[in-house]
Amino acid sequence: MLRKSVLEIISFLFILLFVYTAVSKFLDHENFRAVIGQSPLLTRFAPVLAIAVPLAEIAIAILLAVPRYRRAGLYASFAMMMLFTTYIIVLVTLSEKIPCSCGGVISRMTWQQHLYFNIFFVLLALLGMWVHSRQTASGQPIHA
Amino acid sequence: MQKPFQFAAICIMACFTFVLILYAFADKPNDHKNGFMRKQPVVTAVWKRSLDLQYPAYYIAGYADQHIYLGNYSASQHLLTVNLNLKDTQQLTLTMPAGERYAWKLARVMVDSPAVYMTEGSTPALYRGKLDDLNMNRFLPQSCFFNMLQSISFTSFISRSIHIDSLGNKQNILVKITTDSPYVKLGKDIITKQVDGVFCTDGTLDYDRQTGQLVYLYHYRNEFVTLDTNLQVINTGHTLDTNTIAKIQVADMSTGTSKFSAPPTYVNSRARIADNRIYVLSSLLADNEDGKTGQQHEIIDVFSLDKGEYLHTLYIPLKGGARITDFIIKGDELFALQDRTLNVYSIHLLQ
Repeated sequence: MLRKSVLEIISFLFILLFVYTAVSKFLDHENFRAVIGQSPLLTRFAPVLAIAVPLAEIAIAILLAVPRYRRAGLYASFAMMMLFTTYIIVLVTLSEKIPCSCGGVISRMTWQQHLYFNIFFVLLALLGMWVHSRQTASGQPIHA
Repeated sequence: MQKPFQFAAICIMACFTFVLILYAFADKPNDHKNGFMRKQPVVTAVWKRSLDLQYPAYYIAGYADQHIYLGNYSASQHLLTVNLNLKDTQQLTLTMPAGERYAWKLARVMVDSPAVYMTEGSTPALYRGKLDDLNMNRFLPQSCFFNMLQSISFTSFISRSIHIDSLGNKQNILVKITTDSPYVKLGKDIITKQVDGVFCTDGTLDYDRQTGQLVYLYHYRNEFVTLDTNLQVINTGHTLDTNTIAKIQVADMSTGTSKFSAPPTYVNSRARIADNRIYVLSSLLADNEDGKTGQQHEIIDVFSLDKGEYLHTLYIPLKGGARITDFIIKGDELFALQDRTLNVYSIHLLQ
């Protein structure tokens, strides 16, 4: 029971996060595209990424919302947050003056806050993956 | 059997590998040969003393014979003064008239001893006071909008303002603002448009009291313009690198603003005039320099003020990791602002 609610809460938080950031990226699309273009790592792929990133976020949110695909959704959430986090780490340590383009209020955070925020969500996804694996391992039905 | 931790470990490794590959293939400044040479031997400045400013975000607000004044981007009314020996530090606060509203984040303090100004170009709002009492009063309400301001006398200023033509095209131009009618005189065709008119013309302005000349240095092209206080161009000079056209990409937003849409190629960061020379803080390495030199030094190319001729190059050894954001030259000393430190170097002038 506890496991189930933990999973529900984690999935809900990720759905909220991904839908919110994806929608704000779509709403402010021309700005998002320009700002990722300013990143030396992404400038070549900016037009593609400007569509692909928010689409991927929506896709993950849908996976999390459908109980059958929740496991895949949790793994994808982890991978996505890990990718964002490594991007930040690499940029902050190796490069200078990097613009942020994460969408909505999240882009007002400093790099340090951003890193903590991301690491929190990475750990949250990891917790979700672990709880999910325990749930199935102990033989309980995933969803009644 | 699910193995979340195994997945996590593989995922972390994959992410780092992927992002590092992206980084390895990304264009980095000074990665390629820039196609120009600097004169050898260069003059290396010698560090003499430094002052810990304790806070970041300082800028040089002005200087007088014996003092340097520093303003702070995050505290608009704050003024720090220190003498040339970096002693007798004083924290000052400007007193603004009650009930005044201005965009304090954009406000800049400018010291032109014995006057001190608070300038903010988007309202626009100008205040003037004396360094003795720091009581600021509203000044020159007839001024125009500006995004850069330089005082050239107690009754006149040169500003950089955005001019919008009849077709709606925006462009930076230099403007002379005076306390007498007609107050505002536009200096068209001094700053020239290459890409979008605003970003491509960005640069820095400095004024030399001794000769009454100004220099405008572009950030994204190898060019500087010297002019007199009546906005008459005296000379157009070129910095060493080969960037004649600004390498920038600008996207227009539907909101009417513009943004860079690719990393810009930054060429020159600051020009200062002193003793008939123009000191240009450059961002680019020459082909006869290595990356290590660039990491450990700031590079300043020196040009003659009258002809814009390249004279020699100065290396400023960096203290700590921070780059120089602004500098001034007093006699044979260079005062450099680096993050939270004001460093003084001795520069031996070549004759």
